[in-house]
Amino acid sequence: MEQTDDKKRWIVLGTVTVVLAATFGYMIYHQHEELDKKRAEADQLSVAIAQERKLIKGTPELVKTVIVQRETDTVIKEILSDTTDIENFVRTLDKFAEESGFNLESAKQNQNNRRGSTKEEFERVGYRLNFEADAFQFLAFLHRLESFARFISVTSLKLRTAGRMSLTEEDVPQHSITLDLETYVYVPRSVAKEARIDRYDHKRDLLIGQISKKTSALRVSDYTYRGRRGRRDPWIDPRVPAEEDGPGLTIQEQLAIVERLAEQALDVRDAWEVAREADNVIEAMRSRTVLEEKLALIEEEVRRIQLENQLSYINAARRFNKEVVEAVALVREEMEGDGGGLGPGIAQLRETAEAMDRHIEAFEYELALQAFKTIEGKLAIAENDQRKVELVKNLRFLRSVARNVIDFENVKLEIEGVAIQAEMRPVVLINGRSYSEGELVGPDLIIHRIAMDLVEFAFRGMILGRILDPDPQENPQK
Amino acid sequence: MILINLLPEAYREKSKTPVKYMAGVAASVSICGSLLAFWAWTAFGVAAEVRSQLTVLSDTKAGLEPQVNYHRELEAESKIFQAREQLLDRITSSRVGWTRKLDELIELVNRQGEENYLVWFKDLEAQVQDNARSKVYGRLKAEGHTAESLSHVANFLEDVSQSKLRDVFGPPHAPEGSASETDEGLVPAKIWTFPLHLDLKSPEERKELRKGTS
Repeated sequence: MEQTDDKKRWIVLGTVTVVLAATFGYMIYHQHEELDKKRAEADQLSVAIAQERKLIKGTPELVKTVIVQRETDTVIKEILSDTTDIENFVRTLDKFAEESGFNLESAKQNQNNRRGSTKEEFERVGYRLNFEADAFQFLAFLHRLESFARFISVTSLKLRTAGRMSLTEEDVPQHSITLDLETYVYVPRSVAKEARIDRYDHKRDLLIGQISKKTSALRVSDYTYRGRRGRRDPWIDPRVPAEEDGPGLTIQEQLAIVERLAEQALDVRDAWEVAREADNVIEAMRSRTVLEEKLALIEEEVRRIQLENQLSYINAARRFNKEVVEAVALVREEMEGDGGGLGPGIAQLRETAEAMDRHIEAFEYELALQAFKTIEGKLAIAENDQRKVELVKNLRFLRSVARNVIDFENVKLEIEGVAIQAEMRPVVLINGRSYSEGELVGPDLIIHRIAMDLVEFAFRGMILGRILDPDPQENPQK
Repeated sequence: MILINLLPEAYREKSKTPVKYMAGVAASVSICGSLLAFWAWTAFGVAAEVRSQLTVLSDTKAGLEPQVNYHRELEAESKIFQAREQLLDRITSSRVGWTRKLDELIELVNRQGEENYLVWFKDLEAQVQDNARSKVYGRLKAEGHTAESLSHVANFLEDVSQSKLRDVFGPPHAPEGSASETDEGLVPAKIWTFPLHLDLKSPEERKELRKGTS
């Protein structure tokens, strides 16, 4: 019996012990599991915290980046607009054409306007333009397009040259041009929510250097088209008509002359603007003197080029007429309109006289008369001014010299020979008749002196001579 | 067999817990006690420490959260700006600056004068394509004329291949040409016709060269 109780006790004890130990063991196990979880959680948190700390360490730099991006986004929006704004775009194209010196003939929206792809955030807006222009007008237009704030890409262009036969002195050489261009509309998939940045203005001011650097880097066009610069249009046949008296100036030389004169004409225009806007009388007189000097010089050269027909290259001649002759004439016209009531200024009279002097010295009598004609109509008014009387007299004198020489040259005098013998009056055979010194050859024409190589005539108060040349083909005048 | 103890209570042998049993109980108690103590130490010592550590970390994280959110907001904003910039870069890199290239062509034609070649063109066709698969990116084509000699064509095309046009275009196609007309009324009278054909380089090559020159 006792043995049985003992056994029971042991069994109970064993069972209780096992149960309790198992319970506690389970509790410990569970606790450890929980601990492991919490430790893992803590580790994760530690890692996350470390990452977040690292992340927010970069916040000041990110703030700077965002400020720069916000400030430069205006430029990007200009380049890559997020509004189609087609009406203004077309207006801009029209304005550019006008500024480049031609008119658009047609501007049609391309049918294949599309979104880049379903994933892309832009839409293409394409136009096909047709117009007629010369190569430099075309380049000026292209330059305006490519340097426009809004991004424009020329995807194709076709140029058909103006035929040589279609060119005349008056026409501007117009090539037929077709231009396909594209601009882009930004279609954002998500909208940026602006994060609040403390003391934004102050921070932006500190970053102004970076902002302007990035802004200029974003601007697309970096090429400056500098215009024609005396170059010929390669889409115009540059050959010149064959001349009987040998080749004249080369195309390059002709273009160089026109380029130089066109610049001078612009200079004259500027001088005229300065003279017109002068604040006081002294300044007006001073600037007017400068203007007259420049104007007389360019007019002199224009007359020489026209008389000698130096410009055989049609493109050069056309530009000469448009940018030099017409421009100078316009300034002269405006000057006369502006100061017409007062007659020509002293500077103008003096410059004209000097120009006439130079022409006469160069035996360019016709040019001297042309120079005189530019102010002839206003001399009567100038004569009323005591300060100008002498200058007007001088001009009239120079005019009469040039006129007399031209008239003298037009007198038909066939000098067939001279006879000079000692102790006898020299004799000259003119138009089949012999004359000696002091005899009248024709109206106003008296033989003044007869020499072996020269016969001098008194003509309207001037002594003019005809050189005797052994070669009868030539007849130079003195 | 049933045993009956008939001795009075006072004489009976006192019943004691056997030593073995006591030892067993003691062992059981110590095992269970140890386990319980270990559990208690874990539950109220280590676990509490870990819990408090976790609380500290959670608090720290919560403290960082506004700053992180702010950072993320800035990042999101920046990414949108960046996307637009990248898009702009991609679009602009495929563009050809025709003003520059045509100006350079005109300069080239004018620069050499009539001694090396007198060149002019009848037309011009230029196109930008983006066909990376067939490696065709566009071209510039023109029918040109030159005077006097066919060797002028070679001179001109040689100058084209050495000019700045090569930043954007590959080398010109081989020189060829034919005598086209003779007009005695013009100087020079005899002219040759030749094709000018230049293929555009890929946008990547053009971009690289732009970087190199800028």
